[in-house]
Amino acid sequence: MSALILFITVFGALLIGFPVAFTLGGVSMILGLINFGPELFNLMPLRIWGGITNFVLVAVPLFVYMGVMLEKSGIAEEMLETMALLFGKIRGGMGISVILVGAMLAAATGIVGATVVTMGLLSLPTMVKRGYNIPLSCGIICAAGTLGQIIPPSVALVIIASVFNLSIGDIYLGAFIPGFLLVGLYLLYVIIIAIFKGEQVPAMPEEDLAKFRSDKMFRRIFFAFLLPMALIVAVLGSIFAGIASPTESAAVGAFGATLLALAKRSLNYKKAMAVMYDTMNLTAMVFTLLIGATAFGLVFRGMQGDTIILEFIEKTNMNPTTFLILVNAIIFIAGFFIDYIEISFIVLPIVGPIFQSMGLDLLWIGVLIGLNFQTSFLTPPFGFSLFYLQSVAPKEVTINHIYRGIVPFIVLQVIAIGIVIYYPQLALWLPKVLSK
Amino acid sequence: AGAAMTIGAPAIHASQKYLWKMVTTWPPNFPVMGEGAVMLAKWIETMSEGRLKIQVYGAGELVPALEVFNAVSSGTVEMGHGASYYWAGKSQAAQFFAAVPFGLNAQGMNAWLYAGGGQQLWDEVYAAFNLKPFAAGNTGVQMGGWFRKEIKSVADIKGLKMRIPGLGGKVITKLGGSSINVAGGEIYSNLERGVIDATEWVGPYHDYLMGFYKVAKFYYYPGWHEPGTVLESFVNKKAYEALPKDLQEIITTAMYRSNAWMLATFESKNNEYLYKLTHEHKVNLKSFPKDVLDAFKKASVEVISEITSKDPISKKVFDHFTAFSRKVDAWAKISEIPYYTSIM
Amino acid sequence: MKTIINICDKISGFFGYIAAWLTSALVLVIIYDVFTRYLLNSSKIWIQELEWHIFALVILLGTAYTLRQNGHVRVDIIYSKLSVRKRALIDLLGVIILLIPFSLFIIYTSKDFVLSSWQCAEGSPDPGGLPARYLLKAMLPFSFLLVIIQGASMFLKALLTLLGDTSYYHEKTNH
Ligand code: NA
Ligand code: NA
Repeated sequence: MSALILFITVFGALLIGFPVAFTLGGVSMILGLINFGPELFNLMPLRIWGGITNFVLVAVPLFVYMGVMLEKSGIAEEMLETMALLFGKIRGGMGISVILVGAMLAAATGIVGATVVTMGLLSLPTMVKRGYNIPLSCGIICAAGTLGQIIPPSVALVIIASVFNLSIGDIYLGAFIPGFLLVGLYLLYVIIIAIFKGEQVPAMPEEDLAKFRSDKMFRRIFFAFLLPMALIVAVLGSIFAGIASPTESAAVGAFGATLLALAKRSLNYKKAMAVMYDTMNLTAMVFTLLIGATAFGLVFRGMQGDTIILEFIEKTNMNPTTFLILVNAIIFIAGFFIDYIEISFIVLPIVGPIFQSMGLDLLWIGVLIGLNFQTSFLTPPFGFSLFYLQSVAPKEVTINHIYRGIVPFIVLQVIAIGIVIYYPQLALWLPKVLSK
Repeated sequence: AGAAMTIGAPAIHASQKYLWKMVTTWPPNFPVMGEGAVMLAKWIETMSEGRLKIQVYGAGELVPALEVFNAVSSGTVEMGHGASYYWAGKSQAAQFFAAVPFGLNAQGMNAWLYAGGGQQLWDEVYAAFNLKPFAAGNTGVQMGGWFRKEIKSVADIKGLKMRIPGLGGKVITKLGGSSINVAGGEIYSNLERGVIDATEWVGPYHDYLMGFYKVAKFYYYPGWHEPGTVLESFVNKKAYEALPKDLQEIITTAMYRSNAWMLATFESKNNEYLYKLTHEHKVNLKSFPKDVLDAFKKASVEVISEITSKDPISKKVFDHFTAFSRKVDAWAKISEIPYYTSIM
Repeated sequence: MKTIINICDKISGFFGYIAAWLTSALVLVIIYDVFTRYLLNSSKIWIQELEWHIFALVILLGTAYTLRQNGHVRVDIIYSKLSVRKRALIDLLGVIILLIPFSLFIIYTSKDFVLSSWQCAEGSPDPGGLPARYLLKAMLPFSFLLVIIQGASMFLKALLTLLGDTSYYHEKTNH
């Protein structure tokens, strides 16, 4: 009961508009103190420490650095515009290239925040400038930027694998096809919009195309497209060639972007400082939010919120498919409010053994839950992607735009989950074939 | 009245109920270690007829894995579960109660702790942190790890990038290799891509679950760096001393059972999964060459003496450990070794 | 009051400046690690630890500055539509009810966390790792001290706005 009060109070308080990190922290603290006193809060510093010293998360500032550098030096904008120009007069060309770039970044990183931030910085201002429908642009970026969660490598898949005792290699392979299924669905959606509501995804203006064709075309392609592409290839390549870990390749990207900006002579002291300040501010914002969320998670546990969820699950004594759908529905709903790490630790240890006793393949379930977790990054009010995007969005974009834009993509996510529930082989085929 | 008092007093004790929390360094449901922690709590609850109920939390649920020691030390949480080498940053001596390179195996560690005076030293080291430690499990001899390249001589260690934390890592560094910190979830892909050339993990069972056989060709033995790692559980000293004597005994007894269960499970699972690895997945099983093991051994001695020369408590613990191992070795020379030789 | 605001902002600004430069330091340290490992086949544990030490410092030293820049994300469905005075009132109340108590509470609860680390002179559990981990741990309460200082500035700015000074809040805000 008190856990429910915690939820309602926190959401009410968030709506007032005081910074999320301190609202989460402050409200959780007050309710926790009222409910069970100060004792449990001695664990707060330990939890914060764990969050800000997590080596895997070091990739976040590095990807931000890379993204901001590409943006401030004008490379990113030119790159995306050039990319869109290469798609020519096609309506929705920008959206398609954002989704493809998102899928590529997803194959480079396992962290959602960084990708959304990078994509938001790279694409959103350009899309808005070109007259794209703002909510749709936000939706495309949030969804495409969240692909890193399901396309390997992925931190979430690693956590699922560890809770379910699965091989990480297997779950990476298992998530591969469902991940690209999702990419396909996104692309299909943008194409349908382009056909039926073309004004929302306008083609390049004719004068831009003409200017592009006449004005030093090769030079422009070289600087605006090939060089940054070389950079992305270097980032992906440094991972796949085994030169760097995913975290380190982010540093390679940040360093490479700096070199490109220097080569382009578009980097000066003022811009360099701006890059560093933006990187620092975004990093501090994301991880202060994590600190607030940690207070919330602690109080939620202290109020036996997990027991309430457990009892709810235990009450449902039903056939495997219904149970599977119910669990996914619960995770989907929980994903509105808490992040996937919390869900992994609350729900998965409870349902894992039940699935196993029902004779279902945990690899398939793990991939499904990975898809579901990805949705949790997109669902308000606690969709982290939405916050990440808002934090880098241009002034004219409000959180309302983002909330509205994300709805169709949440529907697409649910469709993808349904498809993988119906065809387990989408998750199971590749690991079976390749682990020989 | 006297008789009434003696009948009445235990009744008051017996009605006192305790609800404890146990935080662990293991992910929830982690095979053997995590499962063992949950069973340990269950046994204590059953034996005490529900008077001592322990709620178990996986790594990250209440506190991150490496903050378990702090959480119990401060008394916010009553009980913890992990391995003592994680706390070497707090006290260098702690790591010797988990594993010593080329040190004792499971049988030897149990002998040292239970009957050789090791437990008293452990109590002493942990008392400084308000903790009462127990042996609660053992991995048995671990494996040397997964290597992408064959190790033919000591020269092959030079330039080797291996994920191997702690003392073992320092040994690799001493021989010209590098010990690389890799987050648990990234080990597989880093090994696959060659960011690291090698990794150690636990034994065949856990290694199989990580899928390393798909990305590294050579599986080396023995696990010289972890010949019989003790898995520990510790209780906040104040909380422990506040318990009635019978509950203290119940905890101690459950620890013994947990220790036996984990070691037995490791032995049985490792056999099963070694077979799977070698027969189903045709893993290339290899022994470290003699000169490599000798070099590891020499470097281990140097690494440990660098630690003990700077820290008197470490020296005290390690000297005791060494004296005890010498005696165990002498006995093994005419018991275990000839016996194993005779049956192979 | 303006002098106090100025001093508070300067303190956050100083540590924000350091935190900003640390982002470049982070990139360079990791690049150095990658290159020595790839070219010289050598990698040191202390350098790998230095990476996440810097990362933690970027957050801990930077968060107060981010507060000064109004960079902490808000749910602005309602907030963005409010008048300047109402927004100032929300910030004023938020600082005294949520931000400062929460920060004080973190400082209070991290007392034992830092002290126990300090007493055993905690270092890295890895031989070859960085010493003096207790110094980094001490940055946690320090970080929230900086947040309180910046919170005080935020409070005073909101107060001045409510008293009719228009220089701190603008009609349109984003975050
Ligand atoms: Na990914
Ligand atoms: Na090991």
